[in-house]
Amino acid sequence: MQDVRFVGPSWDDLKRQLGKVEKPARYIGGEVGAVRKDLASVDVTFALAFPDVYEVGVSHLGSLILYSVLNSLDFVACERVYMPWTDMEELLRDKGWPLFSIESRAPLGSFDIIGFSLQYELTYTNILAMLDLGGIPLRSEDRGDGHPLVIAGGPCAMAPEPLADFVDAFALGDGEELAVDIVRVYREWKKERGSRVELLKRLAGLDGVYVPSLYDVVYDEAGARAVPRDFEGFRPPHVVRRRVLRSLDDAPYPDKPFIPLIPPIHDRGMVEIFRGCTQGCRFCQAGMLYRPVREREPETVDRLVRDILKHSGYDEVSLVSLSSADYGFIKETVSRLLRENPCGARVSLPSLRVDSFSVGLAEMLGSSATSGLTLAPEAGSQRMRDAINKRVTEEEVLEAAASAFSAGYSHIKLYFMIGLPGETDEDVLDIARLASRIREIGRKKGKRPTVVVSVSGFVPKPHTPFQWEPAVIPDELRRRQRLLRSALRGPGLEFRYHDAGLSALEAVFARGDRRLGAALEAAFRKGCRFDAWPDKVRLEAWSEAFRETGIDPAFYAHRERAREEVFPWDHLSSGVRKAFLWKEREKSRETLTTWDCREGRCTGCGICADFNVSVRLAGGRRGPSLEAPPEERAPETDAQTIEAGDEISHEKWSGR
Amino acid sequence: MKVRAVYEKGDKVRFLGHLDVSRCIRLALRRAKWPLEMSQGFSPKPRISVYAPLPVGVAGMREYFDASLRGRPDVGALARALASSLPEGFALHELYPIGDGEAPFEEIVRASLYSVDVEGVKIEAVRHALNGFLKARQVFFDVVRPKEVKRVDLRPFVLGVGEPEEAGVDRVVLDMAIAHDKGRTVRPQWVLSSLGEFDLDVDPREAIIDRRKIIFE
Ligand code: SF4
Repeated sequence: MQDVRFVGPSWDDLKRQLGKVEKPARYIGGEVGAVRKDLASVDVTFALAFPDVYEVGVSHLGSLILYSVLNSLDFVACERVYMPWTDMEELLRDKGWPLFSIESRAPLGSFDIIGFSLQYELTYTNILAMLDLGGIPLRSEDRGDGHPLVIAGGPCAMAPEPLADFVDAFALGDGEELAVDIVRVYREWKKERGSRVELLKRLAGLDGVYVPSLYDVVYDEAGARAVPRDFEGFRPPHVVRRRVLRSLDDAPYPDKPFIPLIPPIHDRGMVEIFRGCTQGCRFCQAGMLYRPVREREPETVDRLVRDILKHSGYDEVSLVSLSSADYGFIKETVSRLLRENPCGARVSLPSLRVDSFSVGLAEMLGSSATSGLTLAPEAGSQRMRDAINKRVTEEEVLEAAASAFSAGYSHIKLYFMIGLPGETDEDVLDIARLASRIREIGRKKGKRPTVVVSVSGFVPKPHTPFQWEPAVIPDELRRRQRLLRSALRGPGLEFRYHDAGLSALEAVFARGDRRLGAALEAAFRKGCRFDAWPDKVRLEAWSEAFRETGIDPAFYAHRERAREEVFPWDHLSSGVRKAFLWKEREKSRETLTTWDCREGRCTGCGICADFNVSVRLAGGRRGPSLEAPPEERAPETDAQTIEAGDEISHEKWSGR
Repeated sequence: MKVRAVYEKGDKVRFLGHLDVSRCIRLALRRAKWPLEMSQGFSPKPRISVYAPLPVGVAGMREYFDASLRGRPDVGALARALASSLPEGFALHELYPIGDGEAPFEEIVRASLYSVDVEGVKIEAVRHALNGFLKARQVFFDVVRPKEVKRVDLRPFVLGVGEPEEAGVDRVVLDMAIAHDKGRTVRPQWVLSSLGEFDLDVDPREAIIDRRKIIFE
């Protein structure tokens, strides 16, 4: 007999209804390689919850990793839950069915732990919707002993205050070890039948776990300061540090991932070749949050590729990282994979750099014939590229484009941001000029080129050098979009842009504090869902929600912060020091660039010393020496720093 | 060498669309390490044809696909490898070599035999509606596609309907034979919908429909 706790809708009931929703296969599971254990016979049941649709969630590498790590423990059963599309939400409510897990169709509320993946601020209303559909009280304070523990991890957990009222504990940093620690603590606590507060205290004792209810927030002129509460002798840490894996090479990896029955957004095998990025782009949160760089050994990459292809049947494998051309053995790895060609598979590289080397790699992969090439110069003018530390010159961009056209590409997509700190109309127009020059190069090479300019609005993110900067207001962003559009007319030039209203909403929540919880709940109650989907987001409902809860969105999105301001995420440490971030912001204003520490010298972000970790390059290559972080560096080294921002010094990077 | 497989798209995978089914088969064949012959060109694809598309929601007990293979591998071994690679819900029933001279599949398909299981209806009402439908000379149905609405006459496609049987309280099961005409056919759900014209109130989306078999000439 099945344990009644774990009984959701029966298959016979469900299948009479699923014909009414779009893509019903989102809810049926049955993936090859999915793990189904008997939920009643394990100590801890864990629902890995992804607050977006199935096809997006099943492509998320971090969730794949955690799913296999947790299911490798014999006392844990980990199942998956995705955000149902709006028609399915309606059906669930209509039938009075709870949101259920994919594997066993067990109600979300029956799990011991629900772990949300926080990839993007605009999924927050979906999180509330999933809790609500699971019959779980939204607010932590309303949950009692019979309710699941609600935790969340991922990049947004590093600045999670808008969710602090709804999530019991946040898991910061690399999850491979931390997830195991959490379920172990949970198991012990469950055996001893302790109280919920006791559980939270124990979790707060783990490195990398932040329990917001154990902190008071003081709001004053200084900012929003989180103060640990005294709990009968227990005081949580003043600063919670994110967990960092020392080495990726011996970290567990899903070499037998589950294969969805409907195509995920990334329908291919994925092998993470390194974690972290120290290119140091100043707008990029991932580049600050996942330091230091830790590479996998090429032999390990090779083995994982073979195992995944054999197990999955995929005909393509992607070598994943934040900047795949930076991998120390990228050329060797790609040529070996192509030469030995395991299972006749294609190889793809996401996120390539803007240079001839990367174009050469793309050419090796033979994608010129089938698809276009994507380059991300991020800004149109040299001045702006220096300001954001995107260390690439116009010559390099043009060279990369020329190599692309020579290699047979005729369709080039360029990614840019507008609304960057200090941007002028000239900088915006330079985007159009750059695109036109690239089109000219294509024409000279005898092509009929298409150059697609894809522009998104810059959103300042916590833990980056731009965390002090205001986001440009939507009307102004729209004006710049129009300016660019009018400059981009002509055959072979295409313009795509993101909705300015969406960027503004993202900017509110990215740097939000705990007071935003009320607005979030109000928006959820007004029916806001899938805020990241331009055809679903309801900005008027959001405005109402802000108004009703007395929140001024501009305070969060469009305000420049003072240097001393205490941020709502200052008690959560990524490892990169705030002083480093400030220094980077100052350099940005002077359009000075900073090198990548993989080039040999530490740039003093602080994580290696403070967290006792180091840059791990594959093949026993030496990482940067840590002797002289810039604070302590002798004056002549500082002079070099300034040189690095000079026009001429760009020569330095061109060989890369 | 070319082989033909008779497989099942079972109850658990009824909600896959035709492209999803083709993708699942392709991945399973690769896991089973079949020596698939590839097409020429920039992005070579294995030469597999999955026939007689079933709509989302409809299961199929005896479905067909062909695959072209390199060399002359042992068919028994291929069958064993595939049977253990297919996702749960699929099954392999038969596998046999076919000659190159075989007539194109779509040309020899004559009909599909479906079983249709509806709830919330009285058997008399079903009988009455079916009689009405079968007596009519034309029964039009509007197929709504993203960019157009196409009107089809369902009547000539419905070759015959079996005697409805009671399968529980207000639950009726019946067989339906639907013609294929040079690749054109209609869906049993459309026929159910059109029974509204003959006073049968049934939501075709709640019907459980299985294709029991495909009938050849
Ligand atoms: S501390 Fe230095 S070496 Fe380590 S990641 Fe930061 S900049 Fe690189």
